[in-house]
Amino acid sequence: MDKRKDLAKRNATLLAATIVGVLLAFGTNALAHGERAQEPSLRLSTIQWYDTRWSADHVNVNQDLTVSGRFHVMASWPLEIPKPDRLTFLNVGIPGPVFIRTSSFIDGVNGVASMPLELGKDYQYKFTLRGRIPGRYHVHPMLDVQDAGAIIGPGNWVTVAGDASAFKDPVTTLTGLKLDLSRYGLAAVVRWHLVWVVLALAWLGYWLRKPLLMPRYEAVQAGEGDHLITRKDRIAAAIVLATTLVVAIAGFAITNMEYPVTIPLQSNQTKVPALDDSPASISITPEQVTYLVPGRSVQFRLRIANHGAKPVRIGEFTTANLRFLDSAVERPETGYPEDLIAPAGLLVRPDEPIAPGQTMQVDIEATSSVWETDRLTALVSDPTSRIGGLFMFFSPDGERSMVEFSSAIIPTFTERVRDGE
Amino acid sequence: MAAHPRARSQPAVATPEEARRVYRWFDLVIAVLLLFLFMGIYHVTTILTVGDWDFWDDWKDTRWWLSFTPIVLIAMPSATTYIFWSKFRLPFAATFLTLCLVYAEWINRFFNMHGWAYFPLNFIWPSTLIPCGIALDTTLVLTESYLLTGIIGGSLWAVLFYLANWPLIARFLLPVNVDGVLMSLADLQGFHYVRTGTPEYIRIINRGTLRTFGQDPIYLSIAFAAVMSIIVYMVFLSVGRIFTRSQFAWLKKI
Repeated sequence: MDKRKDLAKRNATLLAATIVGVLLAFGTNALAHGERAQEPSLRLSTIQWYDTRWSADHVNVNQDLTVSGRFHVMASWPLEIPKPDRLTFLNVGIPGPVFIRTSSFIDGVNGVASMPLELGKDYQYKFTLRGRIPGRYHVHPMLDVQDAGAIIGPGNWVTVAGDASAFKDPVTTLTGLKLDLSRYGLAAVVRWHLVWVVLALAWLGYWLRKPLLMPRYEAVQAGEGDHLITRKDRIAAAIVLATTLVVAIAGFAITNMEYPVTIPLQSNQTKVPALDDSPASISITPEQVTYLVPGRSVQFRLRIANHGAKPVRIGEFTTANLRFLDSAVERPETGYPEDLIAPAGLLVRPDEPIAPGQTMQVDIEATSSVWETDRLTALVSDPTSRIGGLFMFFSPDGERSMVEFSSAIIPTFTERVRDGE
Repeated sequence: MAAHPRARSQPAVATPEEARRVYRWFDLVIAVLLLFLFMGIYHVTTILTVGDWDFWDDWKDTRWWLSFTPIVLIAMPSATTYIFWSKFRLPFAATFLTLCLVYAEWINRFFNMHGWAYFPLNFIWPSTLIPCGIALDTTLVLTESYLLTGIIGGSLWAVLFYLANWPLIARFLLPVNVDGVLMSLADLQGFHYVRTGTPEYIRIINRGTLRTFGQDPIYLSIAFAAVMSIIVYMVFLSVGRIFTRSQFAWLKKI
């Protein structure tokens, strides 16, 4: 019998150890906040973020971090996603208020309010954060679109060091009061709560000091309920009610004297002028766009016409915060997050300048496992199989021209589309 | 098997003193159970109905917060008052519930929203309904009438919500110039302490045509809240009445 018990105990221990082992083996840290969980159509065809800069990747508590850049609102915004021409809000993708946001601007207009944006336009943004809680955080720009949700931009890891208790949020009101917004007013709030809690306990204490439920229930059932409330009870009720009213009215009056100038909560909308359109010197006509599933490669066959005065070369294709660069034309900026740059880059054939006035058929391959790891391949199961992004062209003197791109895309599951090319 | 000889001959409680002691223990057990039950139910009700208006300073406006909160949150005290009063003649259900709510809210705000999510407590403090609950209970004692309690207590419930919470919110309504935009300190808290899932446009504050009248409709909001509180109080007395009746006996049979 004992032997059997020992065996059962050993088996149970083994089973528990196996479960814990499996959980530990497959468990990973949650390092970001779901940016790859958004549907491909939302990331590929709505907002294209570019020129994103983080002023530092390490700040101390109370030290500022500036995030700036530009975004393009796709003209070919998906039909199924509410458009940003009603209301949007420039937000920050961080895990809660580990930073505070001290300022926010879009094209120089204060971004504290919500605003409509125009399709097909570009906007320049800049916001300043201040380190508050020490840790290492993924910091993204983010655009909230009414009824569509958040569209998150590229993220970079930023470390906040120092002592959280040293954090300060100094503000000066228009009445001349200087205060620390991280702590201001809490003592008064707690004090008022305690006043009411004490009064409530006094009222409850008055009733709880004598047997309650059973004898009173019996009395009510016996038809004696009306005699249970005594004159003393009524006097106590009158005193407590009078005290409540006096405290409430006095508190109200004293507060009005203490804060004679207050304003209602402010809610407003603002309008932001978009950046000037660059002249349409380049046009792209997609002839065929395919996604080679086994090769993790998006292949474009495009007809590109250069209507400008300078020869241009394709340097970059950017979509869904990922950058595919032709290393012969463009290099990533120092400090730009490596995980957002496809290692294999952009393969362009023929990799030569398109002369002014010339129209050229170009084959481009954007090959990378990031299509898979960023879950963009899920576009295969989207109701609308389209890909969007920005092509960036460069002239020999470094001038950049951007062209919005949008096209249907065909998945290929078995073979290369243009085999032998 | 024979019964124990003392089982039939002696009652469990022999003397009035013993009975009193048993009653007290019974009261204590029920009180502790009700404390946690009410903290849970009333808090969840508040989260699901009032929600953001109570979570954040920059939602506590003079239109929706002041009217919606008292109207929605009088329902449970009303139903509970009926049970406590009709069965026990006890007039403290509303006070007890509002006290439970404040306890539960502070626990949630401190450990969850402040401890885990890092929001400063001066941005996420809960409003108080305790004076409203006291007014409802004491009016019931003084009038011993559901109707008068509904009319007087229900009105006081709404009016006191504004009077009692004004000293808490007023200091956060001082004006600030933020890079050329006028904001209150509460608005600024909402801007500084980033809520990734709460864009500015999602706030339901000062919406409606009354907005054109600036701060003046505050008294209309309170009057509306008072009338609605009376109605909700009377309606939910009936809900409390349902819970005191035995028409659910058929359920036991099933």
